[in-house]
Amino acid sequence: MNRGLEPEGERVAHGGPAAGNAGPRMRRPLLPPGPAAPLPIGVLGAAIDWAVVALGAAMVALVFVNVVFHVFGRDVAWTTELCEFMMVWVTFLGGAAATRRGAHMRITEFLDKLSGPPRRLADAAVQALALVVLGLLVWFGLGIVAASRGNILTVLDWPMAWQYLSLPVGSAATFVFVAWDLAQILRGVPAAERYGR
Amino acid sequence: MFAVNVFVAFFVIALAGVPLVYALLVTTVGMIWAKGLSHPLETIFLAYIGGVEPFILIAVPLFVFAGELLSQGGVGRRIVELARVLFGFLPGGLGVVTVASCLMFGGVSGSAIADTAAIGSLIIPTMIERGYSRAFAAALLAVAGTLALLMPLSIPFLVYAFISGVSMRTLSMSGVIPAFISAAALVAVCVWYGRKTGCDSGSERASRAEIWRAFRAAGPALVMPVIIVGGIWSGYFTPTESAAVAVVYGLAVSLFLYGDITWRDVPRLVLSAFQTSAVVMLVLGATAAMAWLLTAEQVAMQLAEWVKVVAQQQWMFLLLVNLALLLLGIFIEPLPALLLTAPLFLPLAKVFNVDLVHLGVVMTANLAIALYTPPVGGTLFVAAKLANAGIGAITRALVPLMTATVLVLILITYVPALSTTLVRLILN
Repeated sequence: MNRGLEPEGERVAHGGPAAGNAGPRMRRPLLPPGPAAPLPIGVLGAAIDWAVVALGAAMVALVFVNVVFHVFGRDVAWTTELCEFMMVWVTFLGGAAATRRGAHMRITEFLDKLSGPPRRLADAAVQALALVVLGLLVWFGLGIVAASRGNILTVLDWPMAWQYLSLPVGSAATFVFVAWDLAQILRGVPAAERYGR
Repeated sequence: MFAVNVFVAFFVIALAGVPLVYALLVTTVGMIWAKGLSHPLETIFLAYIGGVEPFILIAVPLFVFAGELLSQGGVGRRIVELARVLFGFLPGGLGVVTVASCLMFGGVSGSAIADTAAIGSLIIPTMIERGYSRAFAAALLAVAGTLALLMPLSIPFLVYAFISGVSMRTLSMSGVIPAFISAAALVAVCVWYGRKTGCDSGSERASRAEIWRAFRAAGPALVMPVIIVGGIWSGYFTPTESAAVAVVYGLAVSLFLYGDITWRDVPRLVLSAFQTSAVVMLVLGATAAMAWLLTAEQVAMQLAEWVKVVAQQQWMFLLLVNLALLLLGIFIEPLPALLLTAPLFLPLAKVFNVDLVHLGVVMTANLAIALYTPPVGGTLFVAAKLANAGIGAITRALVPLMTATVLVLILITYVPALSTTLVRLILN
C-alpha cells in the first residue's frame, strides 16, 4: 500500500474513545495501550514502548545540546557516536513496537481480496515466513555480537558488541510478538482485534 | 539474469503481503542459498545493521517528530486562515486557498500524508459547503498534499541525499522552484474549475487588518521552516542539527505559545515518531543488505550495460526513469520505491551525464504522483476518507489535476535549470 511515511493504519492511536469519555478526573494513559495479550507479552510491549520513548527523547536532547555547544564554537565528539548507538537500538526496538501494532509497511491490496479461511491461511503463512527471517536475525545477530567482542567504539570506548546486541534483542522481541500474532490468527481472531485498533 | 531473478522473487513475495523488510531479507538470503553463493550471512546482516546507523539518518525521526508536533495542534488552522485572507477572493478561491495552505504546511512538515490530512480535515468540509463536488475536493487535497515532498524539509530528499551522497543542503534548495511551479499549475486548474462550475466565485477581499491578524497568528509556525532552512542553506547547521532545533522550537510553540498540546502528549508523540521512522529505517537497512548482494554480484553494472543499449540518449534514460517510477509507484510506497531504485539509477545517471541533484528532484516528483495515482495511494486514501468520496469518482476528478502535474513533471525532467538555478544563485 502506498502511504508515504505512514503505513497501513498504523500511526499510534490517540487515546481511544474510552480515554476520552472517562471524565475529567481520569487522565488518559501517557502511551496508547497495545492490543490485548497475556501479561508477559503486554509487559514486554510496554517496556519496549518506554525504551523507545526514552531513547528518542535522549537523542533529541543530545543533538540539540550539541547544537548549543556548536553555537559557542565547541563540539562534543562523543554525541555523534552515542546518537548512532542509540539510533540502532531505537530502530530495532521501534520495529518491535511497530510489529505489535501491525504497523510494518506491506502491500495488502492482493491479500485483501481474500476472506475467510483462505485469508487466515495467507496471514498465517506471511507470519510464519517472518518468524523464519526473525529466527535467522536472532541466530546470526548473536554470532555477530560474539565475533565483535574485541572491537571498541572509537570515541565512547564501549564494546561494539553492545551496539550489535540491538539486532538480536530487537528481533527476539519481534519474534515473540509475531509468534503470538500467529497463534491468534490460527485461533481466528480478526485483524482489528489483533492490532488493538 | 541474476537481477531479474532477484526482482521477480522480491515482487512476488512483497505482493503476497509479506512486510517489505522481511521480503527484502528473505529474497537476499534465499538468492544466496538458491544459487549456492558463498557470501556469509553475517555480512548480509551486518549490512542490515549498517544501513540504519549513519548520523544523517537521525534527521528522519526528528523531521517526523517536528512535523507531528505541528500537525497535532492548531498550526494547520492558522495557515488555512492566512491563505484564506490572502487568496479567498479569487474565482475558485477556496481551491487556491487549499493549494497555498498545502504549500505552506509542506514547508513546515515534510510528510505528504500529514499535509493532506491536516489541511484536508479543515478545508474539505468548507469546500463541500461551498458547492465543490466531494470528488474534486478529495482529488485536489490528494494532489496538493504531495507538494510537501518538494519543499526543503522533505523526508524523501533526506533519504535520497543519504543514498546518493548529494548534500541535503543543495537538494533542499533544488525542490523549491519545482514545488512553486506545481502549485501554480494546480492554482490554474482550480481557477478554471471555479469558472467552469461557477460553484465558487470567490469571497470578498480581506482588509489589511484581517491579513495582519492572520499573519501574526500563523507567524510563529512559519518561522520554523525559516530557521531550519536558513540554518541548512547557510551551512550553519547540518540537517540533523536543524531537525533537532525544529523539534525543540516546535515543542516550545505548541506547548507554551499555542497551547495545543500538553506535556502529557509528548511521550505518545515521541513513540509515534520513532516507531514510524523505525519502520522506514528497517526497510532502508534491508535494502542496504540487498544492495550489498547486488553489488557483490555486479548487478548494477550488468543493468547499466542493458540500459545503455535500450536508452541511447539522456532523454530516453530520463523517460525510462519516469516510466519505471510511475509503474512502481502504483503499488510501492514512495520511500521504499526510492530506496530500491536509487542505487540502480545513480550509476546510470553518471553514465548518461545527468546531474544527481536534478535526478533526485525528478525521482521525488515522480514519487509524489505515485501517492495519488489510482487505484491506490497514500494521500488518495486519506483524502477519499476525509471527503467521503469513492475512488472511481475521484479518479475522474483527478484527470485535469493529473494532466497538470504530469506536464509539470515533464517540465522538471527536461529542464534541469528549474532544479539547479536556485542552488546556483544561493551558493554563488
